[in-house]
Order: sequence, then structure tokens, then C-alpha cells
Amino acid sequence: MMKLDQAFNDDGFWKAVESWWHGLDKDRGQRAGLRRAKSRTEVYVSPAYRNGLVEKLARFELDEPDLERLALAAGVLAKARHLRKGHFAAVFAREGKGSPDMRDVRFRKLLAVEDGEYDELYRMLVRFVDMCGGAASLGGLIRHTMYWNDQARMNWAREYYPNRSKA
Amino acid sequence: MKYNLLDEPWLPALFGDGRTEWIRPWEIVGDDPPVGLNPQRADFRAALMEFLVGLLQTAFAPADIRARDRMLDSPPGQEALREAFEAHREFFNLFGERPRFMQDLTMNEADKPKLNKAAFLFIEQPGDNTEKKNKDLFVKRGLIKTLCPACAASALYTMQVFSPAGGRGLRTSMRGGGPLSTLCAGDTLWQSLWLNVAPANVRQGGIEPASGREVLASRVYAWAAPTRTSDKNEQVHPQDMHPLHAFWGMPRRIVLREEAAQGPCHVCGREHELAVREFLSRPNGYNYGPEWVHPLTPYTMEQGKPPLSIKGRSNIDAYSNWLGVVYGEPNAKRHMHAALCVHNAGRRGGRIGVAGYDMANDKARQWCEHVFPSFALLGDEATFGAEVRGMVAAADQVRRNLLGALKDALVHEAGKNQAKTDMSLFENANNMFWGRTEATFYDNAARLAALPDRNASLSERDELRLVWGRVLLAESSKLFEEIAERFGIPPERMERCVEAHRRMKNYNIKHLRGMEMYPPREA
Repeated sequence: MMKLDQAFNDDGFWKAVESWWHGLDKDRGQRAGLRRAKSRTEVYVSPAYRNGLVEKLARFELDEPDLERLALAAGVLAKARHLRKGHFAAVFAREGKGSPDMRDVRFRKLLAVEDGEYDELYRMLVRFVDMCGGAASLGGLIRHTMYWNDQARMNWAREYYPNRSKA
Repeated sequence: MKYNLLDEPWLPALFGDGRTEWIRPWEIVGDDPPVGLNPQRADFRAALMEFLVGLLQTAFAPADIRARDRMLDSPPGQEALREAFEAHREFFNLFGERPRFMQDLTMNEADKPKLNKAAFLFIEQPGDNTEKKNKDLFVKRGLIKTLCPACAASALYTMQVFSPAGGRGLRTSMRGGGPLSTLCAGDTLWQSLWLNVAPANVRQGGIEPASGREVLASRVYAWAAPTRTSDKNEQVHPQDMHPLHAFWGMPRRIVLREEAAQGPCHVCGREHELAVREFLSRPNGYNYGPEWVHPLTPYTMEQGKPPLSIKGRSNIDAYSNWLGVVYGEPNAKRHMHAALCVHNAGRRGGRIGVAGYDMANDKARQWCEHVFPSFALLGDEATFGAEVRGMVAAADQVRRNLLGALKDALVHEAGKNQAKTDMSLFENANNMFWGRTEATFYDNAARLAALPDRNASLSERDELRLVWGRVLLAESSKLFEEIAERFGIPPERMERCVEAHRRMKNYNIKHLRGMEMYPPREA
């Protein structure tokens, strides 16, 4: 058994995730299954997740709580059409649609999601991907949606505020 | 009722095997010499070290610096010291007929002296007024009632050399209230004392020796002559006294009252047949003029102003004080002069103990103590001083930026001017910043000290500056995250926090670039 944060240090893990994401283009059924899910919980229990990403990562022997955490990013990434590097908060800061003021308001709503409310966080991030015209960051989403607490919020804020585009 | 401080074993000496034994002044040397003093109180240690330095300076000063250095590793025998001290015995009686050590010669019933509890001999003990108003908060009254002669002598000397402002007519020490005492440290008690004794040769930065009993009795040991009182604020100036009087200043008019002891001493717990439970006092003792410069204390000198002694204070351990205390700062607008003893200890490298009371007028806030390293300089002193000053200035600016950023992040717009209400947070940030950058600071300073002249070591100097800049940047950011961005910030405040952090980083980088402590912008 490997813990998820250990797997992050393994190149093979990231290669597997990337190849899964690119594979979604060919496996429309799986993508549609993931896109139908309305919460992290729904992703977690969906056959699309089980037969897709979970299977790809089988050799890392992640435990169920880690697979549940990973489901959030998997569901959000299924909505994405382009990949970017870095933290997703920085991507949103640069590419999010709307006026800077509105973007700030939306971001603050994200920060207001309470500790451990992963279904709520999921819905919010799905909307964020839409507002970025389908752009998302793969590593960023996987790494930074594992836990939602004060520390995570501060991290997101540190990535968002300094990277805001002026227009 | 005899108790002579040159005959009695009253000094608590620490030996290499960890035992403490009470010794006579001439037993500071010997076959199994003590390594230090180990009194019950830290202020006693500083004062008793000064007492012994003063005694050696007065009775056993070396002719010149070379003689001083020679004797560092080959101390005199006990007999030689005893003989040297013999001529001074009559001035060191604690009890009995006057003159008595550090006590008023002539005070009598007609002066209507005030009768005080022995506890008032201690700088940190609650005074009369505090007791009356019931304001003793941390140090409680009534804990010290009985003193053995050894502790009474220590308390008396501590009070006279560090004496704070005490209210009307209670004079401060000739260095002001709560002065900083800086003493070079060696491996044995003898070395730690001897390193601080100046040569008799005045041209070598020495202190003129006293010649004959008459000078001793009238101009060195203040208590052997009637007190020069200061009822009308009359001052005593250096030219009125002998230079050695610096060690024996007596701002307070005190006469101890000895009596048969009823129990153990409340400070050291030892039994002695004599005890001090009360003393007599009068205000308006020696009122020292501002020109005095004590050989064991650093001073700030400003043109056209009297020297200002450096005082004990809470951040005395911050390295921002280091250069001035150890090497002096001759290039600054206000010159900081290292104590004569530190200056004389020369460029040997070693350790320098600094200690003193942090006083708020007559209230002792705390006793402060720290050991500074001192490095032997290979290159030229001015270059070294300039580099180190630059390091301190950069650190100070980064520290100020950090505090400003913390205020921006944590204090509401409307409350910024009242931000003092939460001072302890900022004070802590200050201390943490000095503390966390300290190791690198001394590491860098040691490397700088070991560099030869300026031109041969340009690239090393550049590299050390960049190291310093990196550490300052990293530590200020880390502290900001720990203090301002710690858990529990509401989402609506996060933007302010992040912005403050970003601004701080930019200020810091800009400033460090200006001081060549950060790589220049790519062209």
C-alpha cells in the first residue's frame, strides 16, 4: 500500500494520470460518466472512475480514503479541455472570465467553502473550469484538493492574489 | 563583630568538578583554581566579578599590557595576592568600626536616618511605595528578611554599582541606572578577571595606580572619607576623585545593621552567627556627574554631549548590539565605544559576557544576560566594521519591513495607529527574527574576520553578502507565514495578507539589491 502523497513523488504516478486524461478523448463513455457526477461522492462511486483512473493506478495500491480524495480532481479534470501548469488558483487568476472584481468575489466564495465540504468544493471547481474556458491544471488540482482546511485556503490565496490579470 | 571581606571566605566559587566553595579574594588562584563564580543570583555574579576586577585593578595592576598578557596563563600565587591586598584591608571591613566597606562614614542619629528592611538592598524587590499601594505583582514582598554577611556584602555592592533611580535624592550609579556590564571571559576565574584588568601604563589605555594610603582613603575608597553629599544636587566629577574610584562608586548612603542571627540566610540558605535584617539610609549621597566613563561598560559618544552608558535591555542579545559592544563603532555618527576592558582584551577572540538590569526608572523589568562571541581580526578593522554594519543595517530594514507587513496583514485600517495594543505579537516577531538569523550572522562575521585585506577577498565578501540576503529573505517570509498566515484567517482577510506578504518580499528584494545582498536584475 502506498499513500497518495508518496505516490506524488513517483514519476510513474504522474505519467499514469496524464495518459488517463489524454485517453478520455477516445473513451467518450467514461468521460460522459464522470461529467454526469454532481459531487465528489458521485464520482467516487461511479463505474467510470472505478474502471478508468482507479484501474490505471492499481499498482500503487492506494487505499479507499485516498481514492475518495483523488475522485474530486478526477471529476473536475474530466470537464477540462486544455491543461496548464501550476496551481489551479493561478490558472483561474490569469484565465478566469469576467471583470477582475467579479473574479475576486467568486474566488472569495471558494475560500468560504467550509472545512471538509468536498462536494461543495467540487461544484465550485467545476464552475471555475468553465470560467477558464476549459483550462485546468492537472497536478495542481490533484495536489491541492486533497484536504480542504485553513492551510489549503491560505495556499490557494497565495497563488491567486499575486497572479491576477488586470483586465 | 568583625567581618573583613579580604579575610573571610565569602565569595561563592565554582570549581571544575562542579562543586561550589566559598573562598577568600586571594584564593581566586591556586593549585586547583576556580573556574568561575556561582552565587545564588545572576546580578550577584556580575557584581562580584566587577568587585574582583576592581580589587585586582586597585591593588595588583600589571605594569603594562605585556605583563598583563604574560600573567594570563601564569597567575601569581595566593601569597602574592594576599600581600598585595594587605595594604587595603582596613577599607574592607563590612561590620564594626567605620570606615566600613561601601557604607557611609559619618551618618549618625542627628541625620535622622531611615530604617529599612534588608530586602530594600535588592534592586528588584518591591520598594516602600509599592508595598504601601499593594502593587507588588510578580516579585512579592517578604521573601528576603535575613541576610548572611556574605549575601549582605554582595547585595550592598550590587546596589552601589548598578543602583537605579530610586526616588528623590536616591542617586543612580555613576553609569546611570541599570548599566550594562561587559566582561571578557577566559577559561578560569583568574583569566576571566585578569583579562579585564587594565595596565597601569596610562598611555597604553591603562588606569593610573593609586599612590599611598592618603589617596586611597580620600579619593579611591569613597567610604573612608565623609560622603560628598548632594542636598543641592552638587555633582562629583572625575577630576574630584582618583580614576580607580570608578570601581568603588557609592551613590547610596547606607549603613548596615548587623545582629546575632536567628536562622539561615534567605538568599543562600547558609547559617552564620551574624545577620543583616535592617539598614540605615539617607538620601543625597554621591551624585556623579555625566562625564564618568566606567572601564567595564560601553558608551555612546556624541560630539558636544556627555558620554552615555549603554544600559541593560531586553533585546541585549540581539546581534544589532554586537559590533558596538565588542569592537565599538567608530565610524557611526554617534560613536559607540566598547568598554575599556573589552578594548584591552584586544583582538584575541573569545567570549564577552554582557549583563545588566533592564530598568524602567526604579522598577526592574528584568535581569538581562548574554554571551557575545568575539573574533580575532586578520584583515583591517575598518573594512570588517563596515561589512558587519551593512549586515546589521540590512537585517534591521528587513525586520522593519516584516513588522510593517504584519501590521498591514493583521491590523484593521482604523486600528493601525493603535497597533500597540497587541505589542507582544510584534515584540515576539522582532525577537524571533533576530534569533533565527543569529547563527548565520555570527557564522558570516567569523568568516569576515578571517579574511585578509579587502582586495584579496572581494569574491568571498560578495558571496557572504548574498548568503546573508538569502537568509534574511527566507526567514522574514517564513516568519510572516507563521505569524500572519497562520490558520484561522477569514477568507475576506486573505487578500490583504497575501498582498502584504508580496509587498514585503518586493521591498526586501529591492532593499537587499541596493546593498548587494541580492543578485542584480537580469539585463
